Amino acid sequence: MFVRLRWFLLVLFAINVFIVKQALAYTVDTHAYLTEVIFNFYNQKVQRNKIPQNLKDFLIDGARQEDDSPRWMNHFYDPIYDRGLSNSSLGNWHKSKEWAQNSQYQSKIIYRGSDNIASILTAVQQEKLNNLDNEADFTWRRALDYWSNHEKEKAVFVLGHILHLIEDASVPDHTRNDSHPGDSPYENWTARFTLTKRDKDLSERLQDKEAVVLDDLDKYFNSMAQYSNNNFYSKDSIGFDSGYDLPNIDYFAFGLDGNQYGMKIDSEFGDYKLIKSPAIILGLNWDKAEYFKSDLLLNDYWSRLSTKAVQYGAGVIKLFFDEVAKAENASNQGSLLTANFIETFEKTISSLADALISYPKANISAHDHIFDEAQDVIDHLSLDVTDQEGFSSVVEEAAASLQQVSVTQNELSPEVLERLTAIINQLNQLVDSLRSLPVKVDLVTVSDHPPVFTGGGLPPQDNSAPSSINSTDSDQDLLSISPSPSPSSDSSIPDNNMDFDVAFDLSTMELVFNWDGIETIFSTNTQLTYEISEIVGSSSVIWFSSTSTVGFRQVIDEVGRSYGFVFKVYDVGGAELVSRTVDINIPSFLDGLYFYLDPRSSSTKYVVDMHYGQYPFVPDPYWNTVNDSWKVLVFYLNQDAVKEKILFGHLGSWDPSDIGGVLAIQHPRCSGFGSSPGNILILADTNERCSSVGGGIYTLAMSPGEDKHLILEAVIQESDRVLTQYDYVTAAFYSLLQSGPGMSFKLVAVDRVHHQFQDAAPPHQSPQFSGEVGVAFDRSSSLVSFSWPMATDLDTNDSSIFYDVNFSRSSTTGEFDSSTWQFAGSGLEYQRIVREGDNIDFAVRARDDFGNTSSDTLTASWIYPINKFSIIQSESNGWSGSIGTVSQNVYDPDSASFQNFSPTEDLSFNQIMLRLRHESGGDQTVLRLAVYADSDSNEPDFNQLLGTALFDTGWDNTYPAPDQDISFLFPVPISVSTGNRYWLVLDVASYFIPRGYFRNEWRNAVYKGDDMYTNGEAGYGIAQGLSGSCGCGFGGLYSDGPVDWYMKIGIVD
Amino acid sequence: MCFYKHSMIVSEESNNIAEDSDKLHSRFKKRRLIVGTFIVFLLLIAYVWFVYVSSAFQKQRELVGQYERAAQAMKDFEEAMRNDTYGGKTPQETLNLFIEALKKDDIELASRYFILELDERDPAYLTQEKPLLALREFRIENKLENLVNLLNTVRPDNTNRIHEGDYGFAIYENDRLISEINMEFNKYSGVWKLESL
Repeated sequence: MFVRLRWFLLVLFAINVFIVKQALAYTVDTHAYLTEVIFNFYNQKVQRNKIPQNLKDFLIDGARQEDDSPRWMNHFYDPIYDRGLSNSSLGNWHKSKEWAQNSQYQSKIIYRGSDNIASILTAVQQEKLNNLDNEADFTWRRALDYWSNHEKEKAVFVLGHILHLIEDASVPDHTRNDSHPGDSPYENWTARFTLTKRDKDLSERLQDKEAVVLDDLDKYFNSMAQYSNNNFYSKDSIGFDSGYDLPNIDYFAFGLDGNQYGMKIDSEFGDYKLIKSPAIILGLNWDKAEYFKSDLLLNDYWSRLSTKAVQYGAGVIKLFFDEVAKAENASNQGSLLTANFIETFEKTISSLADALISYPKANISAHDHIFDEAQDVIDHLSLDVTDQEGFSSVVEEAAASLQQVSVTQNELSPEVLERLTAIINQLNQLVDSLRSLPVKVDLVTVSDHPPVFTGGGLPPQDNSAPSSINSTDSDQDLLSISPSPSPSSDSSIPDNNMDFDVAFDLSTMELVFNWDGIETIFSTNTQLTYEISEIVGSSSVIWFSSTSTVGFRQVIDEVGRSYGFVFKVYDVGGAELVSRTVDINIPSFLDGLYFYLDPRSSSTKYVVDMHYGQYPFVPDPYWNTVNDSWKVLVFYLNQDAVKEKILFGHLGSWDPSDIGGVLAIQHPRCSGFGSSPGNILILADTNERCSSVGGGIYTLAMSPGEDKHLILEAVIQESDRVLTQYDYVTAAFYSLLQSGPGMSFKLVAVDRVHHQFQDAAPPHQSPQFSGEVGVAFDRSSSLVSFSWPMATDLDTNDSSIFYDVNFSRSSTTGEFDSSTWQFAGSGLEYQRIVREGDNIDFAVRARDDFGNTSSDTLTASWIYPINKFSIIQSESNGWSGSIGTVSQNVYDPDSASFQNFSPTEDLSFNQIMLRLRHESGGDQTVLRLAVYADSDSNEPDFNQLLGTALFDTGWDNTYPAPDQDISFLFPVPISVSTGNRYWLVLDVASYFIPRGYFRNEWRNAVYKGDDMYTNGEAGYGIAQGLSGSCGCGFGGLYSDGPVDWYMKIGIVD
Repeated sequence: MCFYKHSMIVSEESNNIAEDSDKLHSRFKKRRLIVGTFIVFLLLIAYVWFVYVSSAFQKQRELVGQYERAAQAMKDFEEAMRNDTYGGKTPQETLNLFIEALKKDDIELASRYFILELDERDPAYLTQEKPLLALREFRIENKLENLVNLLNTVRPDNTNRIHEGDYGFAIYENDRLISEINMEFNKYSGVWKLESL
């Protein structure tokens, strides 16, 4: 065993000797630089949880040390194939996102003791990392644990290791499985950026950027890796052969350096150079690095990838502190504030005030710690207290004491004052929030209805217009007098002086009771008692009983139902003077909630279909800005919606504590990671809240604001269950209570109406269609395009409307044949290859996702313009010899196809139609058709060029089709005369890259065997090629002739 | 006499004690042997378990095996690069050496001035086979002389230089760019190599 162990250790030694520094991404020093930028960016962007300056070096050192050999083997993550480094010679390694979070992986003996990279920490700093020398576990969880144990230096050092991995995910080589050792053009170029040689433009690029905020470390890796993989190449992963479909070149352009580049459209940073057209070479050897040999191109890469690395890195730091807070909240979850905590709060605020008074001139970093502590206790304050008034006084006093400090201490620096003001504002907001909550009092009647308000005075008034009310007089006579022995009221109470009403304030979810004016009815010496009871079945529950004034407000938490109340007035002797009943119906937030089998799906799927009058449709009673955050819905299957008061965050979601009975909903996410089921539905109020910064439903795709309804898939747990009319759905609605760390949602109301399951969908509107069809004809490519305006639909997203086209009219009725409609997708255009003589009838109709088609059909007709061809040879049974090839030098004359012709009359032409075939290769090509006069030696006179026409195939290597007429249009008509011979020479003017001449070949259609065109013949030779100057030469006519081109020569207007 | 008797008794007693002692010793020895054998047996079981049976250790061995292969691959790469010493201390020097080899019609030598193939998926990985094949074709087509003539007209062109280990030349004919030549520095052997030509 010891022999084996000794051998094992020798192997370890060998590995560490030979895999010392494999620079497969950024260099260690570039990582250090990026980490420093992340640190500064993060601290600049956040108000709370800043990392103290004295911890910066630990963060940077941790980022450097992560490249210790052989840890770097696990620094790869390919998001397309979901793998780490995978290579026949180097083996298969862990994905970096798993490596970052798996202690078992990192604790393997093979990773211990490797210490190849020098530390930047001083001896004193290194002491704070004691016993980490022999550690190998630098995972995310470890960092969190160190922080919880107040070992902040170690925590930040380990966090640096994580940041290194995020930075690596911004390197295309690392996300495209390219392990090219030491030979990455991007890595070599970026090595120039270090802590002493910074990129002066990076700060500028970050100025208007924010940290990327996601709720899960995996998502950071996924998103960063997706970005670098989908938008950039690495040396050994270019094009489709690499196994990656993306990125694709969007267009070509020349850079300021004169090189041609494949360009990528980028709406965020501006279009950038994706790949360089490679160098012209002699053909001895060619390295793929040539695609990247450009300062401009690599700078384009770096400027985007480095910016993203910083944004994501800062977001990871934020996530780190969010998770720290969650862990702390979990231990404090749901608890009411204890006396101890209030004492701690008071002490902390007092310490802050003392520190500022004692050291008014100290700078912000000196006071960072005490500010952080104060912020910490504020973050842990809960509004769920029994003594709201008492506690709000404590908070108010704290705010006042700090306010006093800010006013009296004139020597406080601006940064300190700014942070102090932020704390004071938060405390004041807390006071307001506490005082706006309903006061908790002892219950008089135990029920699930709101408690009775027995306190004096009214809660804060709201001036918003209440909703409609219903108020009816009871049958009871207002003049009835109780049989009490000493009635003290006036027995005459005119009806029209009674003024009791109930209204509903949607913004605060309060029923507002008002009986202003009643007191004037009675004697001023009379003290009256007012009582409001809710009618519950055959009994009633007292909501309010007081002698105080003339109004009462009470928050309700159930909508979609009616409330009945009895209002009574008693005199001092207890005699009932007034009894009035009122009903008020509180509608649901939704105009309709339907639950049915999805008719659009071929498999059994169920949907929840919500209709509403406006979006957002859930009120915002708790948050300080209205309709600018998120709402949460929870659906329940076959049970009443549960009134869970607050939804706390846990592992990135806010599921109810008991999800039994919850109906999961599947929908596309704002994070962009497709559609997935969830126990809650988060609805972003605005598009801005729906992005990688916020979560929730993908508003942009679903556009809940457009048609005022949402259709979402309901996920039934039992896959074989069949729903019936006895199944139903209810809903609970939540709005934002607290943002930031400890984000939570509070119940607004439940809707316990049983929305029964239906077999069929409710009626849906058909799309509306109006306008005209536009027709455009591209003669050179023989394509006609039909375009139409977008249809609209009242209950389907307009962008989800499809279109069908039809080209077939019934010969008997003249109507478009109903059986020949073809699906044309959701675009607004349809193209068709046309030929001379075509006469087309076209129709288009709109269709929504429920199969409803537009009642209107748009139509158009088009006839191929009549060409006046003077010379036509329209038969073909073969192909010419090679066109567009060279053998030695790209500037050599290329192979060409020749055809002579002799007009039988004087004529002018500006169009020649041919048919072409791309024999081999797939490069974009510009073909050239030149017309020469004859030299009287049975060959062209290359000094007499009469005209040239070009045809660009574009990037689609399936175009043109071999049976498609291609039109060469001459800018100036060419005149030819009878009795003379002329020559047509077809060759290639250029390919996308010069090397195309070595690997592409074209041919044009010909007829062989019979002399189809008696006034000329086809042949072969060489022509101008890339050089554009004539090293031309006619090789001769085809020896197995006669051969004639397929060609049509004529004039077009 | 008493003394003798006493001493006899003592001696007898001593003999008895010695006898008993021997017996005890012998029993002890036997026990030690049994215990010792048992311990060795346990150690053997533990050895077999950890080395051959335990899945954790098997995984560890697999990991070590993978590292060995990776280490060998890296070792092969670095060794090949270190041994690739054909070239000059400057790009021009390498180019001159290349030209000289061409003039002597020594295309094998000429091919050695090219950088090794570094794409491990390529069958010609860590060799100079491709430029050698290309040079053979040039020779067949009688283009070597023309190539030498062109190479004698090169001039430095570092408009596309992206790092210190990168260098470029260009060949112009009648003010028209005929070819670019890119060089790469082999940091393992300290010489410049032809990369693209």
